[in-house]
Amino acid sequence: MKRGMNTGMKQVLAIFRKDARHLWPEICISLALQAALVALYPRQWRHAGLGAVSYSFGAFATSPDAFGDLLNILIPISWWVLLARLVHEERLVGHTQFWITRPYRWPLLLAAKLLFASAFVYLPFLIVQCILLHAAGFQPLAHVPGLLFNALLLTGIVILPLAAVASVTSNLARMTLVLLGVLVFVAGLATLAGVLPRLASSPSLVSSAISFMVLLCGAATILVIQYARRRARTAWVLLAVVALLLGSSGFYDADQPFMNRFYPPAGASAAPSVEFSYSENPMMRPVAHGSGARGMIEIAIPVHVAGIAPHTVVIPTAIKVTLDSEGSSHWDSPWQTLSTDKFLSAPYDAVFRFRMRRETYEQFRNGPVSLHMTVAIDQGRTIRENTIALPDARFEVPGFGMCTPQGGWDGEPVTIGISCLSAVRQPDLTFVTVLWHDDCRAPNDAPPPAVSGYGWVGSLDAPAAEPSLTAVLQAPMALTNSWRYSNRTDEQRIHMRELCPGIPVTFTSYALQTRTRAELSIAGFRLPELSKATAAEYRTQ
Amino acid sequence: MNAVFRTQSLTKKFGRTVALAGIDVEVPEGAIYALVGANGAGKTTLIKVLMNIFQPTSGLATVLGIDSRHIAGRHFERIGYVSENQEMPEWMTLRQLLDYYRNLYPAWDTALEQQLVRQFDLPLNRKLKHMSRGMKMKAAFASSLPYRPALIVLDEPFSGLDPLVRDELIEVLLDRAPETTIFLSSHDLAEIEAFSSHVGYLENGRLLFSEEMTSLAARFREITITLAEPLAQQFSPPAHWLQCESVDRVLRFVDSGYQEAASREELAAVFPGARDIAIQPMSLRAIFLAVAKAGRTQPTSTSVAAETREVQI
Repeated sequence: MKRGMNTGMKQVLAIFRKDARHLWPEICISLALQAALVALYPRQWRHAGLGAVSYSFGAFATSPDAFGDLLNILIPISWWVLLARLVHEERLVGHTQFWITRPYRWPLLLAAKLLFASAFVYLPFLIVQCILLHAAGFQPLAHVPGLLFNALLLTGIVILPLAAVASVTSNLARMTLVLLGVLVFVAGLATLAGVLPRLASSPSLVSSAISFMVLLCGAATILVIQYARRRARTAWVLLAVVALLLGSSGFYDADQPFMNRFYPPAGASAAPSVEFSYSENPMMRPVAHGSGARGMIEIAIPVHVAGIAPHTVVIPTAIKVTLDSEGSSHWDSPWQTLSTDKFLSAPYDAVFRFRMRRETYEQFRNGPVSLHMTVAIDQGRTIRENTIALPDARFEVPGFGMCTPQGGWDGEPVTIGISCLSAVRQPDLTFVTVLWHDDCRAPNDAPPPAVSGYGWVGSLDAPAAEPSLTAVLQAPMALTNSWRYSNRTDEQRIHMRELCPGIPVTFTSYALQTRTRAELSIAGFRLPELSKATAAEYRTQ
Repeated sequence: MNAVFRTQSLTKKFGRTVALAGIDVEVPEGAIYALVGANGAGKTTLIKVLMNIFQPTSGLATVLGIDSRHIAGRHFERIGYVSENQEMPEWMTLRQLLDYYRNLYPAWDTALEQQLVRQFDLPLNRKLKHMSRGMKMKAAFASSLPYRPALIVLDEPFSGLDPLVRDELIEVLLDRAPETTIFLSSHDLAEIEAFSSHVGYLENGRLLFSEEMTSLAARFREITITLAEPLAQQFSPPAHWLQCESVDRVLRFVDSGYQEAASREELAAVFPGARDIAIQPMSLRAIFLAVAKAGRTQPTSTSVAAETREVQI
């Protein structure tokens, strides 16, 4: 037994050493690119949001920042080449390879390839992420689960699919062709699905996970079939099935059947902390207009949002509509996604939009109908609140991330925003409030009034990690009221407001408390006349 | 004697093309078995089925007692396989190749490896891609023999090699012969005649015969009979007389079932007034040509295909 293990380990190490000796140029290129990422990526944090400001394409294209962005493409390409060459070292397609009549045991061969991938893909990947986390001010050890989850994402999205395609091809050129073919096929089907008119749409609850699992399991099965049995025909069939499943996912809404389970009717355990009613605001009225998809009408209903408890955020994610006419006609819509507005305890007037087929619209447009809307809501609860006097250098927001005052255009010594970094995953959904000033250097005796600004950042239900090469995510924060029009010289122009040092900046973070539903009924409702404007035109008006 | 490998009704089809049509063959332990046949006869296909590189369409093959469909991994610790069209890791030097293989075989004999390298006069530090064809074949031998395989399978090992290299390889093979079984394919009869103990002849996917070389040589004779009178028009020879030709009073044929005493008696009985009966042993080349041209069922072995092909001599 022990002798067998020793022999096995000896074989694994022999194959590993052989591959490393042969593929050292590819290894060196991959490591060099990752070293470049470590050197260049932190530069982008220092002027986040302004990195792309250049009026010369030449200067932009040759700038370190552009190369830093390019590394996000070059590094996966280097892995592509490395993994292809690694698998093709012991080619699985064909019948003249040297190794197939040598005492290779497939689990050991696979183990040797895994060892190689661990040593020259995963380990550098983890090291790079730890270095970048450290450079960004995070403690890498505190994010080990997220880093491991990111490695799992890398495995499912990049490593296994590349290895699977390599296992059914005989060289890099063929692999590239197959990969391009699969990508074009999947993208073509997805595009076709997007063009077709469809009523149902749901927030992503399980579909992403299903697609990920299809990719992960499909690729792993192809690899095992090829390594264990070298059955290229079976592997090709499986590859086609995986591509078909992924490509066709756009034709159906995989999340639709899960909506009722994820958003149960309101009850004691999932009571909605919000009331929706038909808005009587005279500035808002229902509108019907053509949808982007052929044969579809979009109806916009003004809704008054109230009753939200303090320390609570409500996000309507999807809507389901029922229409009943006096002539006993009845129509039920499937779940349709809503724009994810976020509501706090103040009352709001909002607009909920849903789509229906033109023939349904024609059926109900002439008479009063009973309109009932079931709204799926994500409900969050405050988990922490930090108020920080804005420093002039990088600062930590506990539980949120690392933030930096964002400098002015052309290096002006003013702060025109805040850029933040989070580790491994999107931060918890956070409401950020600030106070803007027109000019922080104005004389103290006549300070202009401060203007409040706010912004949302993060996600209420972020996964453990985002697929990322760096593990340091830039959390985009668009604060309201960050600029104003100025008429000082009779020439209307934009004037950036400033965040003065020491002003209070409040970060209020929320965690998902429950998913539930809220109901809204409107009796005697008349569908609005069809506007000539399309949905896109209507939104821009 | 145990059979090192055995096939039963082994068939392999590629689409509609029948590459092997119900092969039954048995190779005894310790044999040097030469499988001969023209290019495209199915030799390489048979070997690849035995090595589990191809799956049989039907029938069964066992190698060292193992179903050929399960031959993999550890089983190759006992099988040495060398093929003329086998790829090698050409970026390696021979030293790197041998160092690498040493890790794969528990029974690797380093002394034998060094002996083979010396015997073949191989340059250890030269990359395989910079070696000549003959040198590559020597390197393949040097990397397939040091673990003392119980079965050595060689697919056209001498094809395209100069006689010197061929003799060197055969010499090394013969050195190994006492402790192993050798199965090799060739379309060149001359190169295998001298050292094979058994021979099989494959044509169009059919095995025309398979037997020991000595018995094959013993049962084939070229017979020339000088008759007193020209042969009667109605003469019908026995089935085991191949290629009967009669010119005037001389009759020539190949007896494929020759037995010293019985055959002489049979000849005397059939041709009682014969003036002379000349019985000549045949070379392997002549035997194969006779069988190939006869184009009919071979009485003591398997059937002969209707379509015959020239064997390259």
